[in-house]
Amino acid sequence: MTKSLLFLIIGFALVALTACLDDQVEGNPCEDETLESFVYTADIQIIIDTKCASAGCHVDNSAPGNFDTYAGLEAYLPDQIISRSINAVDMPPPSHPPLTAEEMLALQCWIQSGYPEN
Amino acid sequence: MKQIIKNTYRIAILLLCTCSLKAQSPTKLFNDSRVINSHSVEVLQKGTLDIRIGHRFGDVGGAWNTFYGLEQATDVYIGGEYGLSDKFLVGLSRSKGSAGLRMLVNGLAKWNLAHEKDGKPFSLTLVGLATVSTMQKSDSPSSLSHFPNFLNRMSYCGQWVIGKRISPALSLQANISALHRNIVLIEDMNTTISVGMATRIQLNKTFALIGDINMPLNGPQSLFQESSANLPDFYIPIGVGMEFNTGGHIFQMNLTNARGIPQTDFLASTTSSWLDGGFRLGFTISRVFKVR
Repeated sequence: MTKSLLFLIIGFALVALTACLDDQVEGNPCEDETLESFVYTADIQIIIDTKCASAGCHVDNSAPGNFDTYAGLEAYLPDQIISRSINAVDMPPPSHPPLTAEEMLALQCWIQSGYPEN
Repeated sequence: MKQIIKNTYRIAILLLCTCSLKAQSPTKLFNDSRVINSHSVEVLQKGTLDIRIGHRFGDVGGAWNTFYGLEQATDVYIGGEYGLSDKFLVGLSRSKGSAGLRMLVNGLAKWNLAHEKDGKPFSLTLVGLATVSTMQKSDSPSSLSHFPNFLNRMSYCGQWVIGKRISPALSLQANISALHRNIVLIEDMNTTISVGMATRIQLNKTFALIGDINMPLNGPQSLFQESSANLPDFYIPIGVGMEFNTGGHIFQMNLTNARGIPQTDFLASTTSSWLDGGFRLGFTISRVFKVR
């Protein structure tokens, strides 16, 4: 029994080792110049209003921060929005509609360009 | 210096006190195959099936808005483990996932190489865990879930766990783990080495205190390396809790800043801080059935 278990474990270990990759996500997608021109009022406000500042969430002190104004959102830029919505992808929470890939890209590139209001 | 001596004295008194507490099962160092976040040295008896359900609520720091986290679920875990022999178990589980990769299926193998009940001076167990994310592929190449290669969905954790009963009521264990994630964010590291400690103090026939800590040694998760501007701040996963042995079930309630339940989902992904209210209530229920 011990011998067969040993073979089983070595087999699993070999499979696991051959299946190891050292990949990282691709480089900076915002280097494309078409993605460098996002501004809050034209591109970002609609995303924030729909996905973050809806009733019961980041508005009227329901959750931390009032994201219905630029100033309210700015208090959480750039670190917290990047860490929660772009990297960890745990905000919006799973019980709410997630950011689409396009919305995440717009947010990411807007933040990288210094999150201009207009 | 005075403070260190005072603290050492207090710990010594605490350890001595535990000697007089009610002894735990003479055959086990831990009642369950998990402590809080960590695996314990224990495995299952041959032919037994352990059905496990685990839950981690939201941040206690969410206060009234989330009823101190009880209205949120950072991770939900359900799975089964089966003892192929008295020394070896296999398991399969599903968890929600709490970090970049979600919708996780976890395969587990655990081999107990030595146990104090067999007259050995310590207990030693090897743990292997492989996790696959079944989440939908993202169109964004900057997202972890873009998955250009199927293997990017995989992560693995191998762990040595060594444990010792210090007194009839006190068990201690240490572990060293190698976690490998096949895809990570830029500036993160694919392989994370970590060490951990866990303890269990039996208070009476039913109740025990449990606690564990896991400390990454390399990468942006480590205390020894500066955090990256493009990554969230990472914290050491620490858990404390109470274990109730009801006779039929092992029921465990805990507080921990780890968001995920499997090793592949918390060892290099804990971004919540105890000091900022980023800890949560959690529980695990384990029910063991004799199948054969």
